[in-house]
Amino acid sequence: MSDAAAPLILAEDLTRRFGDFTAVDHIHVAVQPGEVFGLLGANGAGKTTAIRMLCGMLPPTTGRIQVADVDMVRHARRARGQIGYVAQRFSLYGDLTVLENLSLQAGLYGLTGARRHERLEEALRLLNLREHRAVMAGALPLGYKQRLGLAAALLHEPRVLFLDEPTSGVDPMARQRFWELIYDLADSGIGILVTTHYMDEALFCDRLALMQAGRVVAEGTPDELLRRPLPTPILELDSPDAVRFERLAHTWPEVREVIPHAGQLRIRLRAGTEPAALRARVDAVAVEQRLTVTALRPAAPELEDVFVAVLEENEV
Amino acid sequence: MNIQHVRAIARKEVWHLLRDPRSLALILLMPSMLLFLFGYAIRLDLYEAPLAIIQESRDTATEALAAQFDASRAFHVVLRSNDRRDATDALQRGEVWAALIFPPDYARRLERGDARIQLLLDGVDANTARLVRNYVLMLVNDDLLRQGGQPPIRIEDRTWFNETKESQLAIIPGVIAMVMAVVGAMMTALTIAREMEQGNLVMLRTTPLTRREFLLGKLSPYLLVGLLDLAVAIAVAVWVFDVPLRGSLLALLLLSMLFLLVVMLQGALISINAGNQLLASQMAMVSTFLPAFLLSGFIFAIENMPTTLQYLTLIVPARYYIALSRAIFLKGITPLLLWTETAALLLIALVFLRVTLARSKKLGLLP
Repeated sequence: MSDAAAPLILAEDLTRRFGDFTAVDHIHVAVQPGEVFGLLGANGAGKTTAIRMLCGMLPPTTGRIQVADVDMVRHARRARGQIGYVAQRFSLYGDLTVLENLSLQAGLYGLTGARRHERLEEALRLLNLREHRAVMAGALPLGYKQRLGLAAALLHEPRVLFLDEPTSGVDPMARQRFWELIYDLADSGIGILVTTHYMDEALFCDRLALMQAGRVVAEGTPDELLRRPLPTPILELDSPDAVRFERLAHTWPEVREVIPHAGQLRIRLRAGTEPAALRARVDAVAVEQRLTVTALRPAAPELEDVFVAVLEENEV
Repeated sequence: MNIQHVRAIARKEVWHLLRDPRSLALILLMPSMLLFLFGYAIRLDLYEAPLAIIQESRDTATEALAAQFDASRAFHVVLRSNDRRDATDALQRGEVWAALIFPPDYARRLERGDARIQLLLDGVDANTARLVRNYVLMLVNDDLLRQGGQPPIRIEDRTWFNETKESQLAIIPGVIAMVMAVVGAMMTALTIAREMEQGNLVMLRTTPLTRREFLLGKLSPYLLVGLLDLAVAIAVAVWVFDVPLRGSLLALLLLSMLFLLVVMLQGALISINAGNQLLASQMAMVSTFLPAFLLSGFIFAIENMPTTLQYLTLIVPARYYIALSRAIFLKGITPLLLWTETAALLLIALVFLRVTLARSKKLGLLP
């Protein structure tokens, strides 16, 4: 788990073009053992193409991929024995039982005899699927399906785990449990790469990379990213007249975005606007319209604010 | 090639089959159902064809010949009259397929040796009309011989391999080929297309499974099901339709397996190009049924086709299988004598396999 360890996933200069379109543009990814690495981005930013290349499903146009010390491009088959992959969409067999699905995976990963039995039981135990072993996978609730996907991916004790939007559509409780499990796996030394577009989930990652138009536009630990100076300051307006302020704020030239949040307004200013300008505007409007302002203060940026700012910077 | 991977996929396929008893029942029953349907529907022999006999003079000569027609299994005399207008009416209404008209001077001219009979045929179905004409000629000639007359040339014919000239004997092996082509291609086309639809291939691609292992594991259970189908079809052919199996059963089974493999690979190739079950099943149906029916020599002799169509039949697998199975059923010949057909089937299987593997690699579909 030390920084000195060789990365379990290492991609250098990874590029994938589809005709004239560059889906992934010279990205670098390095994931250490025990690390949970998050790949963020909007749909179409290149996350899925990147993860497909890293899993050996799609050959890169240029670049080098090494997974668990094996060259994924040249020795894909050997490298695949070291990885587990959970797809965004349930991709096991709905007309097979939980145990049958796992048995199939055991066969595909070459598990035999006592080890096979031991691993099957362990996977069922780890993901709380023991009493569901005879249930048809297609009849499981979504959260259970996701767990079954993870159980199948972990059966052969991979050194690297790829999770493509693993919790989309899963209820918050199940997501929480899922992430606890991810942490346990990371603690055991597995390198984990996860794609997501939930900001709260991004905070769970040890390190993050934000993708936009095929490139990584920001990278670091969540703390590092939150400490970045924002070109577009955020202010928090606390007022009993928040609803009226919200309507008015949309028309002010200093304001880029107004987000109602727990009875307050988070106001994101345009790049280059001074907070003082907004303060003056709010005071003037308050007097003119007889509105009360309880407080107007700079807000601590959230990850989403950071990403919006980064994306805007790069859009120009 | 890792046998454990193949076994894992094959076992999964068996689970799918057992889990879906309705589809399994359909696969197992469809061949014999189609065999019964086609076996009874496609008849190239004449049987109880409705016939009108018009005697414009009733005498012993015409009576004797009319009696021959009455007694024949090929005809059923539904109308006897002495007015030829009755015959044209019956033909118009479709009540008879043909009318045999004896003119008033038939008996007189018969003695002189230049008797004439008029035969009116319903030519709407030209094939049947030709068949009726030939049967009538045969019966009239036979009658002439019996009376000691002399037709111009007398042919001593003997039909080999199918002594009674029952068209069924040739048709049933053809029906088996057609049915197996449809069922074989359909099974694999549907099962691979389903995995594409459900995204299962995405998951398989991240495992160490290879394309060859996948294909082998996938096809082997269906090959067994196909062989079971075939066994039933052969049993029906021999015991229900009385087709003699003169050659070796083992040879027939081995060649049938080869043919099944060809059509199953065809199904696999179709499914990876179609990508969904609906399109795959339609393509499998059209690409097996029509060629097996029209271009295989099943009903229409390949030698009678226009030259370009004859070349087209060279890539129809059913053509070779029908030639082989007819030879084994009826001639009792060993397949070694028909090595070109066997080699052609092997070659097609190999080409389908290569193309399927190459295509699936190019499309990034199979692991």
